[in-house]
Amino acid sequence: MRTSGLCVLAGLFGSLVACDYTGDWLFAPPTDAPGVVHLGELVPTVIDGETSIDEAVIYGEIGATGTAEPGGVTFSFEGTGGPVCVWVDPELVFWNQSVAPQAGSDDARWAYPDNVFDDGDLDLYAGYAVYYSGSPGEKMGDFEIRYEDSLGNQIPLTLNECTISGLNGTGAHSGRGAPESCTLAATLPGVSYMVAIEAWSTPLDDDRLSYGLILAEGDCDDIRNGITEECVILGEARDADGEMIPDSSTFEVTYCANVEGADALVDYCETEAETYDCSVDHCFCGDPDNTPTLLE
Amino acid sequence: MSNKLNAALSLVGALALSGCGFKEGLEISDMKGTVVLPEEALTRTFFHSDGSSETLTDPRLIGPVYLGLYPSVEEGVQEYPYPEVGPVFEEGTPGDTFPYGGTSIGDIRFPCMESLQCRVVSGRYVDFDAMQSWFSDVLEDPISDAQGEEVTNGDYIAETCFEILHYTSEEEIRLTATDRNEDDVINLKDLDFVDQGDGTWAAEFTLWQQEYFQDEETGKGFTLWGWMDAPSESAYKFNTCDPTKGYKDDTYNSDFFAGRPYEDLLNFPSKYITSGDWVSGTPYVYQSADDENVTITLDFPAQVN
Repeated sequence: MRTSGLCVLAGLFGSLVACDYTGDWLFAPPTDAPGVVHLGELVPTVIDGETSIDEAVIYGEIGATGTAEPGGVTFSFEGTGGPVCVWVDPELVFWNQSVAPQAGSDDARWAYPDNVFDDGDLDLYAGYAVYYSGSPGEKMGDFEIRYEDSLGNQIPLTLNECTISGLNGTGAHSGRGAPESCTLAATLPGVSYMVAIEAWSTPLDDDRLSYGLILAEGDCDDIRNGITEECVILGEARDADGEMIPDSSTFEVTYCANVEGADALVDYCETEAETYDCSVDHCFCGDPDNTPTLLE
Repeated sequence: MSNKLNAALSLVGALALSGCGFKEGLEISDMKGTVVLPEEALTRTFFHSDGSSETLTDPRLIGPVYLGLYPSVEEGVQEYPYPEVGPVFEEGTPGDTFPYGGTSIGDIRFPCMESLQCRVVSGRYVDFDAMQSWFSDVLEDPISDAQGEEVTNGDYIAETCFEILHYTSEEEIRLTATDRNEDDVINLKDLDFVDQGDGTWAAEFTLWQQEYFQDEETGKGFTLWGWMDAPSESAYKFNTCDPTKGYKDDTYNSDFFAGRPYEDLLNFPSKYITSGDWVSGTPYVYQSADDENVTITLDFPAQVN
């Protein structure tokens, strides 16, 4: 066959292949931790003097699906007749690295960048279980239904009851490493609700994302009770055996103390940089040589 | 390889490539038409402080007109003809009408003075003198400036706009008329709604870059429906205007928002339609995207309990 014929055949093959594209190869391969997890039926905890927040936390881990399909965690619960709070905190903490020198030490924000390679992002959705389109434990879905108007046009309606406020109104989600919460204001007793926590991103270092989760009666504002959001659930950084990653809790406590004005995180990060080889060991702060706002 | 085989392979290749092409199939065009208001919609009796009264028919009584394209319009949904609504998920919250598009005739724009917030719509005033005299002489509620002083001429409003917005001509302010009909005179015939001499006032509209929808089985297209938000009786305000949004002026002792239309006017019209507004009682049902002489009349006075 002459060259021109080969070119035509190659073009034909290429064009046919281009029509069958999933993009799966762009995503991480499957991990030991499952990409889609269903926790089953949970009962909202009553957080009061007898049950603390720490006791109410459910810890878990999810991994990569190995495809372009999103992964995540689902669970169902029965309405209580009152408000129910859902709170999820992915590992670990996140702060914005300053990109310009600050006016003075009093205004300096974070002297060290966050280690972004161990953070993941979970997005929270919830609503009536009957509207959920996913297959729990198999495939993530959403709370979107279709309404057909009199002209026969399908209109998608999102019935996600988990409304999170952002800068531009409701419908927001927190970013990487940051917790999310929402209150289902008036759940109907006996009615089944579904919570879908979509894994928007998993950590770049191992694609395994641990998390802490609370399902509790009452309003999330009451559970938070003035505590910084990141500090409601502690100890969510877990290894494959479910054990807390050494020092992660210390790091979180230091972070929370810093938020309260203790200015302790700089010392922690400097000590970490001096003590560990962060190219080998798991460091929670970022590279101290790669920050524009080093404090004197 | 023979020429025939080459040609055949080339043809197959071209067909395969064209098979990957994507035709959107969207029918989009600028759809034009006319809105008609009966004279009663812009007629009101004013009772003056000296005990006298006068009945005026004046285009300055025409508020913003909102037009929407809906699947259909039904009787019985509201106390006036109203678009079909989608499912209601919460008691007391009206269903969404899911419009296909829409536009307005007259816009709520920055009026440059706080005392005019949500009280001025474009295309209703020949010039700023007409605006000043309307509030001073007819409504007997004079415009006041940022210092609380009464505004006694239209040029002062224009100059205030120039200073705040850094404009250099009244055309840029876009509140008063321009020579729309190109007769070298700016007068009542250059406003949005023009007297037709038969007891009606008409305005042209354009639904820019509107995608056309129709029922594939019956061929029936979407329905044009709308309403005129008449100014309130006492304060002469438009209740489709959100006073907490829009351009914010905070120069010197001014600190106010211009106001702007609410974001969900076309989705939830019943939240904003009140007694005194005029609704389309004869909506227009499209038969094609190329329909000509599209006209709707806002001839149904809303009475809301």
